[in-house]
Amino acid sequence: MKREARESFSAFVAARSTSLIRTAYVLTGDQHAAEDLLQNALAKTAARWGHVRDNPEGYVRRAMYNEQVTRWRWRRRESVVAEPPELPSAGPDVDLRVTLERALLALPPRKRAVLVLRYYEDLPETEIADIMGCSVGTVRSQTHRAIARLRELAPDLAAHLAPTGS
Amino acid sequence: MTDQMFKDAFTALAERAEPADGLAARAIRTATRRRRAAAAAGAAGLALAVAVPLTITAGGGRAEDGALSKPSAPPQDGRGLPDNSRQELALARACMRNGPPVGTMGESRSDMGGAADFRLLTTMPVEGGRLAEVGSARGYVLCATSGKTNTEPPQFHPWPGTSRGGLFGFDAPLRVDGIRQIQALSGWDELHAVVVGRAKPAVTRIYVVWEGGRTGQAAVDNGFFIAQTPTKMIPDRKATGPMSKGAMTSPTIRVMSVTGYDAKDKALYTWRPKVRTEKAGFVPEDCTDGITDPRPTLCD
Repeated sequence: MKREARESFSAFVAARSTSLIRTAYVLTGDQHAAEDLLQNALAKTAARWGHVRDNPEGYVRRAMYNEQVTRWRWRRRESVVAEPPELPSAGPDVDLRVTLERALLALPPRKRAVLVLRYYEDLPETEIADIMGCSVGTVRSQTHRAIARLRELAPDLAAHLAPTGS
Repeated sequence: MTDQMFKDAFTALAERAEPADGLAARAIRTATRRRRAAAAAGAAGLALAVAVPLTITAGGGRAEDGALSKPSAPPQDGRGLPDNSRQELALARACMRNGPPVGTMGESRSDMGGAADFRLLTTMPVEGGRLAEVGSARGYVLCATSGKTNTEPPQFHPWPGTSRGGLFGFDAPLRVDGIRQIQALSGWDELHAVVVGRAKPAVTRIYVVWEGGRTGQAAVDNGFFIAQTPTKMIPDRKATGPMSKGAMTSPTIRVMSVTGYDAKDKALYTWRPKVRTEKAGFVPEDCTDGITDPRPTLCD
C-alpha cells in the first residue's frame, strides 16, 4: 500500500474504530468475534481503498453485516444444534433491559442484524434492504419475525414489544 | 416504547465492546496477503492442478477454423470494440462460460457490463482449442477454450490505464494489459504464459521476449494482441503440511519486453516492465487497490 493511502486508511481506522467495534460487538455479542468481524471488513476496505475512500465507513458496515449473515449460514450448514439461550426466569423484579439484551443475543444473526440496522443504526428500510440484499418487504417480515422470536424467547417482554416494532 | 427499548439494549451491549489495537496494520497485512494469494491462484491454477481433476478437452489438434482466425470488422478508427460474427460471439460466450461477468469470488461484476457487451477481441490457436481475449468497453477476460468449455473460471478485469479517449486513447504505440498464466487445454499440468495488450493501427507485428530468450509473435486483431509461450507445472519442493505430497506450482516466466513493429519492420516501441513483480504476473486490480507499491508500469 502506498504511504499516502496507508496513512489515510490508518487515520480512518483510528478515527472510527471505536464506533465500528461497537457495531461489530452488537452484531456478534462477543469481543473476539467482533474483532474478527471488523478485522475482515477492514481488510476488504483496505483492498478497495482507492474506490471506497469517499465513504469507507459505509463500506465497512456493509461488509460486516454481509459477513455476519454469511458466517451464520456456514455455521448453520456445519451444525444444526443451537444452544438454548440462557434467559432469566420471569419475575416481577427482572430487569427488562437485561432480559432484552440476552434475548437479542440469542437471536439468529440475520434477525439480530435487521434489528441492529433498524434500531441501533437508525437506518430507513430501503437502506436496510440495500445492505442486506433483499426487498423492503423482506426487511419488514424479518423485523416482524425477529420481534416475534424475541417474544417467544422472553415472554416477559411480550407486553412491551409491539408486533411490528412500532 | 419498543424503539427506545431496543436502542437502549443495543447501546448497553455496544458499551461492552473493548477497543482493539493495531486494526489498521492488521487489515493492511491481511489485504496484501489475500491479494497475493488471489494473484498466485489466478496465475497458476495451482489449487485446481493439485486437488481437482479438470474437465478439459483432451488431445486435439490445432484449431484452424478460418472463421475464427481473425475477428471480423475492425473497430472504427481503432477506438472501440470489433463487430463479431455469430461464431465469434459464441466463442466469446464460451470464454465467459455463458454467464455474466463475475469476480474471482463469484461476486457480480456488473460494472464490467452485461454479457451482451462482450466481444471476441483477439485469439490464437493452441493445442486443443484457442487462447482468446474477450472484452467490453470496461474490462476483459482471458481464456483457453475448446469452444464449449474452458480450463479456468473466467476472471474479469477492468482495463488498466486511462480511459480517456476510449480504449485506444493511450499515448504509446502499444500498451500491455495483462501478464498471466492460463491452464492449457492440452494437459492438466500444462500452462500458457500469456501477454495481452492493445496497439495503435501503425503497429502490424508484435514480438514478446520472455526471460531465457524465449520469443513469441503475437496475434494482432483489431488493435488487440495476444501472445503466449508454453510452460508446465512443476513439483513444489517448498510445499509443506499434509497436502504437500504431490503439490505442484508454476515456474516464473518473466516478460522482458514487448516490441511493436510497423509494416516496414521498423521497431516503433518497446515496452518493458519497470516493476519486477509485474514481469511474472499482473492483475489490473493492482492499479486501483491502493496497496500495490510501486505502481506497475501497466497501470500507466
